[in-house]
Amino acid sequence: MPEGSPELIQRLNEICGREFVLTHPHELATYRSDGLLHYRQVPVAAVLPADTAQVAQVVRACYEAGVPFVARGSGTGLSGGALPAPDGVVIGLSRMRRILSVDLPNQRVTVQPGVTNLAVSHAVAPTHFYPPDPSSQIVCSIGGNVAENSGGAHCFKYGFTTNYIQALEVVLPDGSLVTFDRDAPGYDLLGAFVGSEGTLGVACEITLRVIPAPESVRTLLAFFADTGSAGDAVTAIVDAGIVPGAIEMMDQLSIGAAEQSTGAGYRLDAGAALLVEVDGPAEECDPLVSQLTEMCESAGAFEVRAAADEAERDLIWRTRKAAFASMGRISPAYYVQDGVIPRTRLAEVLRQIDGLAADYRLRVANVFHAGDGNLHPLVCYDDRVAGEAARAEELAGLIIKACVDAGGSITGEHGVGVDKKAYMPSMFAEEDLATFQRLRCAFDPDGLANPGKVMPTPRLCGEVPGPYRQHPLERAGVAERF
Amino acid sequence: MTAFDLRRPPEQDVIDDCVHCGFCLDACPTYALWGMEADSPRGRIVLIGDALAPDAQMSDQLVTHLDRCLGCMACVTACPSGVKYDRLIERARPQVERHHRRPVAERALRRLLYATLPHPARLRILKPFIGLGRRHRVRALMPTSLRTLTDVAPRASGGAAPSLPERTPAVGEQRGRVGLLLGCVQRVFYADVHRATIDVLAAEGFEVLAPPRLGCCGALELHGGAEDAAIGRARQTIEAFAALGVDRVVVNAAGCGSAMKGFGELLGDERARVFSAKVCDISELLASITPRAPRGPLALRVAYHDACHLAHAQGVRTQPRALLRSIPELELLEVSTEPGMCCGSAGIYNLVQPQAAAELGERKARNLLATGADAIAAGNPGCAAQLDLHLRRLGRPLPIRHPIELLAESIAAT
Amino acid sequence: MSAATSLVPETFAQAAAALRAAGAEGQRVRIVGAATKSRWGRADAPSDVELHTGALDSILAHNAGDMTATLQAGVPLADAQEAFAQAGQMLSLDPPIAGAGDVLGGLRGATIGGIVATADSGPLAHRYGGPRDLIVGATIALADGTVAKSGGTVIKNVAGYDIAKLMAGSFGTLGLLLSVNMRLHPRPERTATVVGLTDNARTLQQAAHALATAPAELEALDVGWRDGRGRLLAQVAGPRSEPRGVRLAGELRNAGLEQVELLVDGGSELWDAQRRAQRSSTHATVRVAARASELASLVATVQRCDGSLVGRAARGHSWLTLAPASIAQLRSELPAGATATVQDLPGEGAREDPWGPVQPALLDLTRRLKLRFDPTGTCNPGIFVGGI
Repeated sequence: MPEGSPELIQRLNEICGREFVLTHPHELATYRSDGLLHYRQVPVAAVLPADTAQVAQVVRACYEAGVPFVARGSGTGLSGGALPAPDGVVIGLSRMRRILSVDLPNQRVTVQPGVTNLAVSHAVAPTHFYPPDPSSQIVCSIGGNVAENSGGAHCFKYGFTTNYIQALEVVLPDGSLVTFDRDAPGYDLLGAFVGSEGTLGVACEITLRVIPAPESVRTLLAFFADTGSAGDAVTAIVDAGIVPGAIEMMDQLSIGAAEQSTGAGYRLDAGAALLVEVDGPAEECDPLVSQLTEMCESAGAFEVRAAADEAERDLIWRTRKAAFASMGRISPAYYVQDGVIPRTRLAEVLRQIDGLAADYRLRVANVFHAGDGNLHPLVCYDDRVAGEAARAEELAGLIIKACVDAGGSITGEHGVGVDKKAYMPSMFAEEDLATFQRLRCAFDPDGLANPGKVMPTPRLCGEVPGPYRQHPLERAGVAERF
Repeated sequence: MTAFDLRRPPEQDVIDDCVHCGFCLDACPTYALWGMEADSPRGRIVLIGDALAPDAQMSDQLVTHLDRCLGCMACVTACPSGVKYDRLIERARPQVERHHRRPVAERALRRLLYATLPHPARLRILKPFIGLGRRHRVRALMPTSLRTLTDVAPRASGGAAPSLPERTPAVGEQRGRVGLLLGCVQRVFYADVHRATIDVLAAEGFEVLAPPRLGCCGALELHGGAEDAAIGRARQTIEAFAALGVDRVVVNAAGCGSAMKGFGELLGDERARVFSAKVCDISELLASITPRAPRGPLALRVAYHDACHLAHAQGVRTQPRALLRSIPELELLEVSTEPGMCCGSAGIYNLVQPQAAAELGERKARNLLATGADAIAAGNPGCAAQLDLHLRRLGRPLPIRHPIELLAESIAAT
Repeated sequence: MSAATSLVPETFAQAAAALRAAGAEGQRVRIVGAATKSRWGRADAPSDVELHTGALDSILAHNAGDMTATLQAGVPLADAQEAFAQAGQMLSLDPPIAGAGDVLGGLRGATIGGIVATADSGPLAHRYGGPRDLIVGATIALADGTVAKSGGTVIKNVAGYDIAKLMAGSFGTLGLLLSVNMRLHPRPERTATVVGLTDNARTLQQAAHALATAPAELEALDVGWRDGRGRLLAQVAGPRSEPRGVRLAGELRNAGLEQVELLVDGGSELWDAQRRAQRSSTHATVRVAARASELASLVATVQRCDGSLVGRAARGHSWLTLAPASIAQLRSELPAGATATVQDLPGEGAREDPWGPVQPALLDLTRRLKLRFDPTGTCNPGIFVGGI
């Protein structure tokens, strides 16, 4: 494994202090993966800056040394977005976890990027909350949420991270500092940055919009014989013009795994569980409970429960949120997917997935955000059995293809990262990818910010005023100047 | 050849259970302090797993990050995949002791600690010197580690040491016969807790047998990685209680209860497993019976502190609370900020990692004070000493009692 | 400044080819929708060719079940809303669609392309944000003839870069919007509007704050100030709008507002008036972004400048109408961190920079972006910030 240049390491030591610049292979090993264990890459150094000024200096040092860098929040991402670049530096934002200000009259909170998603809601409770709520919110960082434009269970009604960012203070890939404000005239650079997966710079100070917490929250859990009938219930609900705060579905396999972790009492004999949560003013919300119960029963639910109090509601959600991580209990290994399909094609695509799983003789558990068609098929396999991992990967690819063919997307909230970049050409033509690259080059002409992510093939940026320098990839004939 | 030897190495199967989800980061006190992946359970699992690989070497860095682990097991509670991290760290520590040469001062300190703490007789001799060691002029002359030792040592309560008879008969009709571990630190510094335990058990109809010659159960050594010593003490403990023919073996120190429930795993034989199955915390026993002795009122606002080895290691949370709630007029308060976070005592941790322990101790003290309680209930002597130290340092000392002491008071009040 | 040539492409291919040709010839293209906002930005920037989107006016898709629609850039918003209404849906975007002076540019008013390009919005922005919050994908044409798409037709999608957001508010300077994919919402059957008055700016601000922070799930929360008199309007939607409206009316009274009225399934004239007040043919209109807690001070400034104001109280977006000569004074009195962009400005002739000061680092990045997307300076050159 290559080592970082001594000069760069020395500079990093000067900026952050020796104890926050890690170069020992054992310590670097802890940064080699994010939430996807099957991607590993050890960086040449991992740096943990304390504040924006240090981040800017670190990035500047990397820029001047021509060394790529990858920003990392809590390392819980599911697309390999924080996978280190070979020969690169990991910039860990986990020490920058202060909530800088809470301004409830203006309904804004400013945080450092290492603050966890849940901490934001806690800071403004009970009158307000921060809507984007990924299942990993207890640990995932706001910085990471910005990078991926995270959604979560409540995004069908409330929207995504990009709808809740008011301003960003960003360190650009050359180390300069710039502030994006949603309301400032000019290009929506803030909109371009959110969801750019760390390839346009490092967000160091994030101003979030929070909204009043709903007056009433009613949570129902309905059990069906199969996902088809659960899907019918969803259709009935959405067609009636109801916009639930969340509609989540789990299939039998995922129910079984999650129940082992939480013991919340989900029906293990159900083919599907549907979690429907409505929230809002009490006058609107409370009458919906009986209406929703009826709709579920008409669609075939054999049991419908309404949470009686906060503790019950919490337990219902905990099972859903533990679903992914609990898969370890029923399978030695699994691939997590994140396909999106138009909601109207849900039943059809689920049947397709079932068929594919049978063909491949592999189990596929399903957890998904039924309201917006975001599926999380979990392709289970045993990596100790020869060839099974490869088959599982193939099956995973076919599932994604089915989603795209149905008019959907390869990723609803986890991001492209390194895991899905090979599928980008199935969604985007060459002209589309080339246009993405224009944006990327405006921010990062030298390709130092999280290279190797999002775009399927290495690309260079075209002419920049100044002397022409041939890039090593060009010399190697691996990339073309475009 | 891996970095570990073949004597009870950490298990690859346990390592493989980790899916790297990171939920443990939120629960880990050292991650809360430093924000460094290698000081999180997830990171330590990587370190231990890599050390199992062929040609792996033990490094100072590996040892440092494992040493910094409190062994609090909050991560075990938090983990959705059920990773038994406790097994990993418990098996990794002896490997470190066997294959890593610590700096001379550190080795001396550890030797001193293992030579004194598990030995009640030696502790009694040292007790007065601890008070001396707290005086300013003496303190200034002491090396840092000894200073820490005197700082975190429990404050001796005034008054005569209570009698702890070898056999106490049940009051009224006997409904069971239990053994009580007197142990080491608890017996010397918190003998009142044992007195209260014996009184309550007797009042509830249990004959109590407390073998006086049986010393430390080996928890400190087990959690610190001194595996051979721990195994020896485990055998002694099992031996001592085997002769007595008791239904249950009752413990009133969280760390000891946790260690003793683990003897089956540690020794791997049937006798040890049978023994471990008999072990219970005093609150567990009381929660499983219909109370007999009437409780009198104790008008106190009490904040309950979850000792890690009770809550996380043994899953004992509701029973101590039920015990406290059974006391009329006692108001039970819950810590709302970082409720599951370790106080930093963690066995010998606050002696070998004083800075981290001090930060955690202060944090926990503040969180307890925020409840507005008049008193703290804690089921572990190490926690009691740590909380006492840090509440005093904040200028806000509060009485700290074992829940059983409050119950004994309540029963006596009738 | 009228251009020599007018192009009206009927297909995406034609539009792209037209752009490419212009780019190759070094011609400056001005993109025109319904011309309702053609005087915004640096309107005096010269151009050689006008490219009209009028013939790109088809609704390409309306996926009612999935709540999305694909509209060509030239589709008038009013037409789109009519089509959506038939399926019980709406696009939650309600900017004024007439031009300055209430003139309906074209016959049907503002096009979706122009609304997105200028990031215009109306009272529904309180809950739903601006065009950038409702756009899920776009197809664009670049000056070199590239036709590219980004996003998709599903609400939830993070694949690739969000070029659609970049296009929103870009005033056509990065490329030509060919079509946009928008997220729809159910059209409510019942609504309730409450309105209250006051002549105390602080009372107005506090009332707005009370409603903004209440769990009332408002569709819109607007304020207005004219001739020393302020008003607060709020709207809710849903089957139980009436009882919710009653509660809101109570809140307004508690907050000290007078002449509080509740209009069940009504109030559209009030909301139309708010939208109309965002435009002017006789005065300058300045779009100000400030904090909600700065409303009272903004009102004081407006009074001193002899102007009037409407806006989204919680979002902090206000439209100030005042004499052009007072713009400088307004800028000098703005609270720190607030921005002001001149939109309507009566009269012809040379104009000052309407955009206001921009961070140098930001301007630098803006220029780099422009250079990457439109190196030949073909698309709407000169009308944007920094003279871009």
